[in-house]
Amino acid sequence: MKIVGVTACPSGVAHTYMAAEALAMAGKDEGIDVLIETQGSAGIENRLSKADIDNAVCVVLSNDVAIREEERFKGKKIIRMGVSDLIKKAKPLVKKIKKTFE
Amino acid sequence: MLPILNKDCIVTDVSAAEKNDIIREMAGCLDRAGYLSDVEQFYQDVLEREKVFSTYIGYQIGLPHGKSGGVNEAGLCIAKLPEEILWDEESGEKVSLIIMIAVQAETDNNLHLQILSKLSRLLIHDDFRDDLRSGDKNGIYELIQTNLKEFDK
Repeated sequence: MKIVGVTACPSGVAHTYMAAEALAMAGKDEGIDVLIETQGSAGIENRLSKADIDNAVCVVLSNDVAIREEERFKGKKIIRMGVSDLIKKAKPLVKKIKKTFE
Repeated sequence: MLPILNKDCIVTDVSAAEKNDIIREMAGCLDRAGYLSDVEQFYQDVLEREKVFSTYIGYQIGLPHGKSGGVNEAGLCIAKLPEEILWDEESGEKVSLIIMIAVQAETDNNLHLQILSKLSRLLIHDDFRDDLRSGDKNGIYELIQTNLKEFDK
């Protein structure tokens, strides 16, 4: 199973990366591929490929600031959450996604 | 270029009892170490960012930060509090460890941003947080140096 996502935050300095790491760690714990693109001050990093997006069961997007190129996810199941919540609730979120799409 | 962390910006004896006072004290610390050009503007920018949504990240840790015109060079200030203080009035969340980040408003210094993103990622890991919490001034300094070694030139 694969989950993809994009994180961004108001300053693009800290939360973007914390949320990405929290989701990746949660994926590791659950044995799922979690690929997160970060849209921070340093620009777009770990950009998701079309294949990654096509193969993902769903897309996780932070919703505090606009996500760039969101049209890439048209037709996908999208889960939106605040970046702070993504950091704090990454584990239960990934667990829930796993259970839903298993 | 200043190193991202100056030992003088690790404080373990903060006396302030309120969030804004601690933010001011930590901003003063960064200012004295040469990271800021306008401490008042930086302070206001940090408060503004805090208004968007609280920088509480869980684990009794606050991560106030300002991308501000009052910043000269990117830097960190780390404070360990003797007692926890209220960080988010809405949720009642309290912090006992504060990591403040200062970044220039306009920066093309990707190295700084990469260091800060690495540090942010590290904070998600239990062992890093535990080491941060248990370390004294020197311990914290060494911990940061060791973990950000890859960026040394």
